[in-house]
Amino acid sequence: MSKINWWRSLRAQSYLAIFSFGIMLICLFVFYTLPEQARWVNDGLSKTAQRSLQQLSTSITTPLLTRQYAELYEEINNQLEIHPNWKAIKIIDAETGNQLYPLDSWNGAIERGDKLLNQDVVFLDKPLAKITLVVNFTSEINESSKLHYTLIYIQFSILLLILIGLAWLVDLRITSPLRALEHAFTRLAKGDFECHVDKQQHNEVGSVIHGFNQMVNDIAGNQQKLNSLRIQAESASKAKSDFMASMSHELRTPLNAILGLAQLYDYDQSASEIQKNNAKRIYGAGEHLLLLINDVLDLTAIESGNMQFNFEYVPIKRVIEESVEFVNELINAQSISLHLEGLNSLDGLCFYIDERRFKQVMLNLLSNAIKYNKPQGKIYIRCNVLNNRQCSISVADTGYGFTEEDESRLFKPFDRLGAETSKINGTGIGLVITRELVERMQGKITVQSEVNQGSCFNLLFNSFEQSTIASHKQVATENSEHTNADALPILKVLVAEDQVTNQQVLKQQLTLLGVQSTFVSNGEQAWQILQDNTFDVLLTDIQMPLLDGLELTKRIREHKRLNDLVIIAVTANIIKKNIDDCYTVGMNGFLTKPVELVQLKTLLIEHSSVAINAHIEHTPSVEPSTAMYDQLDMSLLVSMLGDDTDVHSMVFNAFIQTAGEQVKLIKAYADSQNYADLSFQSHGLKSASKSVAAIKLAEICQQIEHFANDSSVDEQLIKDLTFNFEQVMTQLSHYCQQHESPSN
Amino acid sequence: MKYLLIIFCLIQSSWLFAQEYTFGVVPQYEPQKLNAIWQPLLDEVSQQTGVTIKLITVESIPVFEQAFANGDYDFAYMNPWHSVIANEKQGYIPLIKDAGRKLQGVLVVKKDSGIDDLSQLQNEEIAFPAPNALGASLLMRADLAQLYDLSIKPVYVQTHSSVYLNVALGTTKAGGGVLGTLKQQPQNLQDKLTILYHTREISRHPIVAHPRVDPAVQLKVQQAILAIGQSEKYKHLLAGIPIIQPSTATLDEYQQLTEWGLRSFYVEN
Repeated sequence: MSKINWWRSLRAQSYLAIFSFGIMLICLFVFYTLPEQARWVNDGLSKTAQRSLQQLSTSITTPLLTRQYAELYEEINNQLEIHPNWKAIKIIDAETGNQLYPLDSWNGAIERGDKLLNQDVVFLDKPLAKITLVVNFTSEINESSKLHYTLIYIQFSILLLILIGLAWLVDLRITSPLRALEHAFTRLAKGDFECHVDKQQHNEVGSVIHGFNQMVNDIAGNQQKLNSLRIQAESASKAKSDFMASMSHELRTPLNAILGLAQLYDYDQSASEIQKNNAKRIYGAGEHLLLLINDVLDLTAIESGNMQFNFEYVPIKRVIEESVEFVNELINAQSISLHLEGLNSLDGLCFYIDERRFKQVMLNLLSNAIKYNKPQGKIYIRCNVLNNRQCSISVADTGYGFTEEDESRLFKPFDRLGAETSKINGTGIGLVITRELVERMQGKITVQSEVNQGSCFNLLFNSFEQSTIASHKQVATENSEHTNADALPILKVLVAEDQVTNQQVLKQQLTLLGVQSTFVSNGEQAWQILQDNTFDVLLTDIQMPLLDGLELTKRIREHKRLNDLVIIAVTANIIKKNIDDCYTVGMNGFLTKPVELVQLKTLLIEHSSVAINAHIEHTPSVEPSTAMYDQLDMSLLVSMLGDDTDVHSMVFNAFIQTAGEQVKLIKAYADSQNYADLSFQSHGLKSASKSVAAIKLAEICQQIEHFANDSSVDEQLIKDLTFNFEQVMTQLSHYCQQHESPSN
Repeated sequence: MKYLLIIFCLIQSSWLFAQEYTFGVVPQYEPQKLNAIWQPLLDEVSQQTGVTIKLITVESIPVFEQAFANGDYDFAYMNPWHSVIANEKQGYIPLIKDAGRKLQGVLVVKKDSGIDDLSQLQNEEIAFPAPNALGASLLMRADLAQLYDLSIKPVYVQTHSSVYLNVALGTTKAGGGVLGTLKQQPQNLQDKLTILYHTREISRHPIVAHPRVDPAVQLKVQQAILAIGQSEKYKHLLAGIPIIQPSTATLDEYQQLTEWGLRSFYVEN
């Protein structure tokens, strides 16, 4: 309720008006009416006195003429007696100048308020005497004022009573109902619909109150409707959320199988090249599908506020480099050139961000810049360190751009600019997610664009000196290096998974990783088997018949004997609640479907020190030197497959056995200008090359693929491909020989 | 002889008592006041004497003078000079006078006027109430003219008060009055005046009887009034007139006014 100043309230104002009116009346009476009255009384009395004096002059003419002064004296004394305001009379003989009256000496007018009146006594035009009269009307004026005061007092009292009555009436009939209304409005504003005001009057105020009460009823009715609609909307939203979560699970589960199984072809020596290529295509399509699902899930998470962030200090230069690397292939395919400016200025600077999410942002921006660029266009990534310890990273393209009006549509879900006309595919939620991610990571995103000139997305983040946070990170890095350096120990792993296909994928992956695995179809079976056997790690699905993963974990954590068991959830349901639930019941880790080999391995290694005490002796691997393997990006290899050279060798062998065939096919298709197959094969080789971290080779493949898509072939590229492929093959063979020999 | 007369009178008294007598009063005051003063006295006299007396009042002195000149009243109360005139015209005889007081005129002058001798008033204006006012005017003028051989200009100003005021205001050099009225004036007026001369004394107003009235009745009335004056119980009835000390009046004591030559100053109506 807005506080009303007391002097602004209707009540105070009405009383104030009455008080002012009263004061005004009093002033009018005191300063005007009364003096005027006094003057009027004085004048009136003076005139009357003058008339009386005139009469007196007539009546004393005879005594004066006959010198009958006794009669004169008697007359004058009589007059003085009957006129109390006549103070004194003097009569001077006109002829002699003698004072005829009074007998004694005359004092004249001496008092305040005395007034002199003169009258000549004339007989036959001859002046007989001159009468001087002293009058004083003070007592009359006082008497009149007193009377007037009394009158005013009475009038004023009556007026005051009337006005107070009026004010009271106004208060009762208007102000009080208004205050009641004000109070009711306040209650209504707070959502109290039982705030009806009593309608006691059958006038305009009553109508207003009646209107208010009706309005309250209407609002209450509408509110009820709104509530039911809100409940419906909420339940719909919940249903949508549930549906999305469920869909995510339902989509991820088969996708897991698809991706996992498609991946296995790379390791299947018996599979033909075509099968392997097809499997790669399946994998690529699956990956794309996974991206879309992730996008939708991200949007759902944003809308429901469930988006998860793992904040840490991340060297920003590396993240940008990695992001750029990620889209390099795409850029090359589109004949777009990418220019990095000021990257070195980011040396030694960290952002406090979720690295994965930041990469997602960069990839989104970059992929947009690629998608909406013109052919032969350019992309600029400009990095600037601003004065106030902020960094701006802008991604500018030379594409078609958009108008200012379109800017507002940019960040609206599913409202994709040019969706009607453009052939470019997209969901229209990328930028929505991007902006949300940036803002959630305490950054800012702005955009400028000019039609046909291109657009520029600018990110602004706070930056931190790496040196100030190095000590903490150093320890962490050392630890991780230590564990990473270790080979995957011999572990006994129990997998609880109801889906047979997923069981197979995991089985293959675990076998590949050299891990002993036992499979059960649900939590109950897992529980039973745990009673008699000892395992180091339990990989469990969350949603399973009979006993789900969460319940299983709870049961396990209640038994001391099984305290050391590492439990890792494997689920497609990656919404926040699920993750929280997993950690709440006591799980140690979390894997999302589709499970990547590297992730699986990393996680197992991570928990191996917990799982087993036996220290596996570290066989110092020959540090791959960049000089020796200049075709291979060893750091990328490690990040993909870990640093286990055996695994590397296994993957390399698979490449060695299959890639040669692919190169032959590429050459053949290039010669025969079979662009569709050329594109397919070069894409396949590109993926395979990436798997062995042969980045240059992959880039060449991508360019070939890009040309093939444009129905052309660059002979030089084919030559480069042959040359690079030979080198890659040599280096891979060398690596395998070097690392396989001890085990052989 | 004397006894026979008395016996005769007593025999005659039965029808004499039945007769009603009139009593005229000089209009010194208005008739109501005169009634209030005289009626109780006359009632008492009637009571004591068995003589029925009716009070007659008139509006003015001239009417009164005319009335007694015509002999309208059986008894009358009048001033001394009137009694002289009445005696001359109708033979009225004085019965009662006030022995307590005498009538005497006074001549007043303004205190600071510097007049201390009557000779200073030669040919000056002197105020008098009226020409026929006995003490103030007639006696004074007679004295001044006859005893001091003064020639004056009389100014008649109706009342004694006017006389004194004229003197006090200096409009006349002197004024004639009587001591009684002078003493009745306000003190401030009296303070301004001083008495320069006193006239000769004369008896005050008499009650007179017409000669047609039976002397026995005259006697009865005279005796009754004298008795009332003696009685403590009825004395107050005479005080209002005023007659302080009633006594038998004689014609002679009033006749001396004629001797003093007042007639030449009297103004006939």
